[in-house]
Amino acid sequence: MEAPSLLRKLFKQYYDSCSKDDFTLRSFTEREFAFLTFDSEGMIRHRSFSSPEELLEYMRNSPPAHVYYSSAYYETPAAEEMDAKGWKGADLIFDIDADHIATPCKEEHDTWKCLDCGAEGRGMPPESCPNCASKKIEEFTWMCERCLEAAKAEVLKLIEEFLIPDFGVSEKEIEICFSGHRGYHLHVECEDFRHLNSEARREIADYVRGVGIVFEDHGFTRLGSTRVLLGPSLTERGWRGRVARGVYTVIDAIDMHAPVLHMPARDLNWLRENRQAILEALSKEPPFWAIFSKLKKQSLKELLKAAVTQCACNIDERVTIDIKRLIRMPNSLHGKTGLKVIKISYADLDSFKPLKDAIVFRKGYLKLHVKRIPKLRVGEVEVGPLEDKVVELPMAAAVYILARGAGEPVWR
Amino acid sequence: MSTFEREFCAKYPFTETARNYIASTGFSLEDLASGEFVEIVERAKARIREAIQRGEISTFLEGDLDVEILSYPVALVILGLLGEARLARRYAVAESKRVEELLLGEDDDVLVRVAEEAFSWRLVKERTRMGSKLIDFCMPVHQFIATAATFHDPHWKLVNKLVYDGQVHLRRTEVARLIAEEVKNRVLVRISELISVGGEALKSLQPHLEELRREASGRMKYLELPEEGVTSEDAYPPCIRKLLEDLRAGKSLPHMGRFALTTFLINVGVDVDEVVALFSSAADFDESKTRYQVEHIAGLRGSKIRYLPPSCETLKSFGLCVEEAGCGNIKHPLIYYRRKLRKRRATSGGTEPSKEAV
Repeated sequence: MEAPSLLRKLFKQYYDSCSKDDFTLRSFTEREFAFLTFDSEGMIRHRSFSSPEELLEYMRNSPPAHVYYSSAYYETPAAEEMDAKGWKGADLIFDIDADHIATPCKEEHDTWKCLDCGAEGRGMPPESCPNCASKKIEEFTWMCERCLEAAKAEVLKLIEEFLIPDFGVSEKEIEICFSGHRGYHLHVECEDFRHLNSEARREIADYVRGVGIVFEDHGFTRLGSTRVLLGPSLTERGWRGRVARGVYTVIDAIDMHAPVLHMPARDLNWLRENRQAILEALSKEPPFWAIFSKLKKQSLKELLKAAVTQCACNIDERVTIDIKRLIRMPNSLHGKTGLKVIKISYADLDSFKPLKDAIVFRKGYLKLHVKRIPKLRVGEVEVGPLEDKVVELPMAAAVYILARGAGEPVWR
Repeated sequence: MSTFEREFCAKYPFTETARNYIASTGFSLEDLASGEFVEIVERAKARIREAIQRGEISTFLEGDLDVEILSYPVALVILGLLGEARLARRYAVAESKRVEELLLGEDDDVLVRVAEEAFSWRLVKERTRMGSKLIDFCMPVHQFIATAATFHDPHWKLVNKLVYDGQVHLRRTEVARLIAEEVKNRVLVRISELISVGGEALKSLQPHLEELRREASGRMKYLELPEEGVTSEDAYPPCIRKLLEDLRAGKSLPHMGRFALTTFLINVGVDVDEVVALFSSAADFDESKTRYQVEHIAGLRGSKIRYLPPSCETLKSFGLCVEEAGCGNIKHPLIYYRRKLRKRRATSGGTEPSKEAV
């Protein structure tokens, strides 16, 4: 038996063990469902089901590698033409993926390869090949605890810095899902946002990413025609206070931020030497922004931009803007990892351990031929780095490696 | 209803109070055929005419208020029957200007009332100061972005507004502008809904339609094209020729490129089948999808409004303008085409010399 058939068998066992209550969704019948299978490449789309039982029945009969549902609600979710579906609204969704966060450990576990010239490298893949400028770049990415922790920190930032204080969303309207691989999805279950079009959702995405911010609009102005700078205080709400706090954070850890602050050495040194005085000036009520009058205009702007980067939330804006997105179904399995897409409440997020809590296949061992893996941790097990080796591994780790396409089962 | 309330209806005929008042008069479109309501039709035409000529509309509170109130829905019916996207747009912008100016002179309570009655906006008065910024109102984020997202000015971006507790905090002038913008949107939607109105009303309005159409095309020249100009490709502007070439060479056009090319061809009289056939060379060609989109643009589907090509300025900002071709002062691809045809007809022994400088 080869990897896909084995995975299919294991996934079936999982779906056999599930109950219909695992697959409930708000407005279930208005959603489109889509599947990817283990044996063919195309996506099965435009399916709709009358109930979670019917969906479960389908998944038991033809166990899918990936299960998706539409963020949108449709009059006729099964219509094949998008225009004929009759869009009624869509959940507001945020996608936070470790792929978009530059963590230092990516150098250790991620690699990429140019499909045109064969150039290879480590870490986050470049947009185009540095050797031949081709855009056809294949990534080999792996889950790791540090990347997932970084993604989780971003989720908490989104909730605690933006959704609750600024957007006025309540805790119980927020649903968090571990995607089963490298990130989290966040659904805002609030009627108010359901009917917004893409342009309006772009405004939300730009807001949390701090895109297009104009500092003058947040109180950063000159006093009359002088060089004296006025600005918001640390305690103010919205982006006003956030930029102020961001500047405070950057100055506070000026040595850490210095490498990314593009300003003349003179200005950078001034910031370093006057760190304490600046922090005190910013903490005053009203804050004494005029202390920055010594800086070049461009340096100040650079500082404010660094403050925005510090405070902005790193979401994949395309997911938020798309009003017809297919999203991974909670409690389904991720075909590229064998992990469960799992719902987590805001209260439990802090203690959630994706590489432990999302494991489904906990029993038994499997012997497999590993092609190439970096150092991995799945559950309690640490494996790798390995290349071209036959090993016997606990089931969860083995399933993960098979699903990544990095190994084949070995049968005695 | 008190005179004060009727004045409110005349100023803001799209509010709930005004809609209820109009319903209570028992006035219906069929009545227009009877000729009894000449005054209303004339006032409706005056509204449209003012929009065509000055891009503005005045509010008359000195005459018969009922005429003023009823002229608003009638004007929209007329614009629906005319089915000219550009004219509808010009009218909508003019209505929105009218409303904005009125609102700026009103008490805060009136702004709250109009926003609530017209769009169910939960606008709340709030007099505070944020640093050097004065705040007069707040409203829910989702209602704000649903309208403000269409503004291009960076100051209108949500990220540049003071937002907390689900509320966007705004100045009075901003609220007036936002209400005006939503008036424009609703006017356009209403006009497109009225396109299929038929029956007696249509017949009796026909002469008025012709009259307005003539006036509009006189004012907004490139709505009209020389009829004999049966698609001469060499008279197409450089940007369109470039798009055509690229398409024929099998290159894939960006979305705006496809839109510009299709709207241009439809407007110079190329028929839907020919346009669809052109796109068949594209790598991702899907006949039924393409046909649907082309028909939509041609005004045969959906809103029934025929779209015009984007202006030169828009094409420039999308990088589609062939700037080195030097079209001179021309601001619209259709103007280029029309002038080119005229010029050619004049030089190829036509009887009428061109009066316009090319």
